[in-house]
Amino acid sequence: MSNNILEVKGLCKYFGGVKAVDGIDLQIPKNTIQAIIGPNGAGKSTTLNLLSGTYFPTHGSIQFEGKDVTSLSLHQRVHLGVARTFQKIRLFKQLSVLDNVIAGFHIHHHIPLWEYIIPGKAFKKDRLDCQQEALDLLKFVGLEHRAYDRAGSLAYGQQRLLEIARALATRPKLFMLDEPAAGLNDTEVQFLMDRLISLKNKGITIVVVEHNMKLVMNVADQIFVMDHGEYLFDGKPSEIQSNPKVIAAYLGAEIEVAHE
Amino acid sequence: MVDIVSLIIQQSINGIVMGCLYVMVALGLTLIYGVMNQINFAHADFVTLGAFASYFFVKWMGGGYLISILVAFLAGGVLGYIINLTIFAPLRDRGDELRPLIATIGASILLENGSLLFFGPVPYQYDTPYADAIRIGKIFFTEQSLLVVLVASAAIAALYAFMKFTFTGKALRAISQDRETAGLMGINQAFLIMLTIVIASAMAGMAGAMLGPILVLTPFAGASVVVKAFAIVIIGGFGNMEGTIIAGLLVGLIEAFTTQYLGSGVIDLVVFGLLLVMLLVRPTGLIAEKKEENV
Amino acid sequence: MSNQASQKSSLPRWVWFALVFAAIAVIPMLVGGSAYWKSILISVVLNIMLAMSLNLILGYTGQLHLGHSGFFGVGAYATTLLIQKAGFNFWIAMVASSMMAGVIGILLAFFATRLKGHYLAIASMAFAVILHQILLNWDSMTSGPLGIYGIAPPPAMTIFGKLIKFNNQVNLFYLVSIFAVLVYIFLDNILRSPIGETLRAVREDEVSAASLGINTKLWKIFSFGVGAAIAGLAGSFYPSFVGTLVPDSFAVVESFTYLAMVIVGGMGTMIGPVIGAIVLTLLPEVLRDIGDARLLVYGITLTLVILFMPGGIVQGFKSLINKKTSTTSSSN
Repeated sequence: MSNNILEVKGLCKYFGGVKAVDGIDLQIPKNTIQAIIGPNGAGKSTTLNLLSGTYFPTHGSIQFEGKDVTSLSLHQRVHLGVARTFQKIRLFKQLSVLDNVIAGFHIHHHIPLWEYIIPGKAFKKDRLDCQQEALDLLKFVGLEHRAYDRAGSLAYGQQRLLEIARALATRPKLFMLDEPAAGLNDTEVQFLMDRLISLKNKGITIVVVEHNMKLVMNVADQIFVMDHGEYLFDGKPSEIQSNPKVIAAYLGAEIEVAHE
Repeated sequence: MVDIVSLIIQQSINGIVMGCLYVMVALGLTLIYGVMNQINFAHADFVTLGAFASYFFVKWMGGGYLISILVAFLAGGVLGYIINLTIFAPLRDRGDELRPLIATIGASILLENGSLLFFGPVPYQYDTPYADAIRIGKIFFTEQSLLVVLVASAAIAALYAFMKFTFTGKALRAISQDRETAGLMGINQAFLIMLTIVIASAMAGMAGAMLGPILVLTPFAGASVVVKAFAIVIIGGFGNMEGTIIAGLLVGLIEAFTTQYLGSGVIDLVVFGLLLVMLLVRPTGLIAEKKEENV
Repeated sequence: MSNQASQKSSLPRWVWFALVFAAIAVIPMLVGGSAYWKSILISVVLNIMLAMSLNLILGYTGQLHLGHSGFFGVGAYATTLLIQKAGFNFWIAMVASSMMAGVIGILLAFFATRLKGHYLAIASMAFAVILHQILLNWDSMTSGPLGIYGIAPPPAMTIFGKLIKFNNQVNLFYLVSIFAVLVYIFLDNILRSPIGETLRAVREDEVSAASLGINTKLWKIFSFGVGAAIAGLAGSFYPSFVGTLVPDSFAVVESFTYLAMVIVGGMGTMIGPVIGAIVLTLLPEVLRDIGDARLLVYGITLTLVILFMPGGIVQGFKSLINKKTSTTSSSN
């Protein structure tokens, strides 16, 4: 029984003539934090889209917990325990903060069909449980005091955290984040790093696409480096820093590499 | 044998004549969509009002028919300007597809029923001075048809050249491809968008002046053309000029031949059935490029 | 509980329903003997059902649907034909035609799953045009533009030992009102449940809805199917109400009238379509002196509301209430 939650072989995504991702192999062990980095245009986000099922690959296969999920779409993978956040914030801005999180319980309701039309005991219990669990999730990201505010009224950093809370409502085993630190200040990044480690300690596997090197170096167990849609290098944070190939790939792009 | 050939040529001519008018109406729609991602539902009513403008110019002011086409052109332009001013410009930056569309639906209902109150439901008899028929063998067409094809072709060609070769035209195409970047390049978007609607609506008005004698002139004359115009824009590809031109002529031809062989009651069914098929199979139109959804 | 519940009044729901039932019982007496106004009342109730069902698709699920008249027409013609040509009992015909309308709604939903925004708007219009054309051209079944004459009202029922006939406008009004209230309760409960949350998620952002495990295709189909079935249900009462059934009652322009009701009343709320249907059915009657002003009224109100008060009358009420109470409302 493999210890990998995700196994990827020969993953390719071509858009017409453009090879956004070209032949990626990847193994992600359970209960670790994996970072995918690379200069702009390396294909990191596309890879995340492929891993989550937002895009379908042109070639290649993806196995989740030993099951072939290559042809499953995003919403189908969520049922298996995959969750993701997006580079561009996609909250339900007109709904309240709490309602955003509650929406994430979609796959976890236990209400008999007729109670949707005529509410009964199971319905009420479900509503209370969802509300409580949603508040707990908001507490986890530090937003419980804004629960009844309109999601659109939150500050940018808080919206990012809300997205995370909402995705966590699906109770994922594998959680993928697309540039979660983008636009966050140092305090917020620190909090985010802390939360990611906390999630790992709860048994969740995390995949993070990131440009913020401080976050990546401090939090990742393993780093996967991409360039031009292809695999460049992978290894522990200490191995990445001094690798000449990685440094060469990043020349020309301005990245701050923070040391531990 | 010669009969069938003349029949085909006859219907083709009929088809091309109507097709030219459809293209004039549809081009306006597609231009507007290309430049600001909006549909003006009241576009067809500009056709109607253009027809009425030219009618009254001839009847009340005793003007010449040809000049009345120009009058309709101007009338359409003014209407376009007003719609932009009241609906599209104020709602522009919200990124909301729904509200402006619904507003134009409301405007369309308003214009149609306001015209109904004003002009009454009885169809107006619009006689064109070019009603004489020209015969070539078994084929005949009226001078009006010839006029339509000439004026329409000239207008379409002029518009096409404008879009392809002038600076303003290129700026408009830049806007339709990438609004943000075009804005960064210092192009005055608001003005150009206004210009687009004005030109598009002016063409609709002009089409109305030429359609007046052909269609039944009531306040709802344009409505009969509107959904067809949408069909053409979709088949040709939203925002795609070449596609719209081809699609418009195609629909005109399909209508002509459908009338000949299946009877006129079925025309709408055929055209809209075709539309639905297109939407299922190739929603981006015959020739259009694909736009990727950015996640 | 979500904010929408907390925004409602402090009166428990059953009190509201008691009030509504009382109002329904009393209203026919208010119009006295006028047969004209009694028929207007029935129109109002049918329009309420149409607006509510359109709101499910447009307001709650965010699908730009401009072809609702087609479903209404399917319900009307299917009921009439099933009764007249297949000898069905009215109630069975009503259920069957409702389901047929629902199936047609699911068909349209397949377009909705592949198209967005303007494309869907036009596809739904084309759909409605095609349905209208079928009604016009399928002479052997529908008698074409001449229509079907002499349609009987629903058969008399015996309730509590009393025979109730439905050729009586007042009884017909009560009958349709009961269905309308049942539909309201049905929709309200569904939309307060996780189903409502799911539909709203589909409306707000389909991609992130998918990231929460929501099968957006399925839920669009649900929305169109249920919305169409309700419209079909309303349609099954229409023929007996008008007596003569013609295709032009279901022309595409009627879709715009239902659209106007939803938007003027308040899109995306439960009570909005009800208010919109009442206001827009009654207003042209009150302004009857201006002539056949019905569509003109729709055009004006629709345009003004969407430009200046897009949340409709409901939004207007809320801002009025917010101004009067000095407490700041935290959110909507």
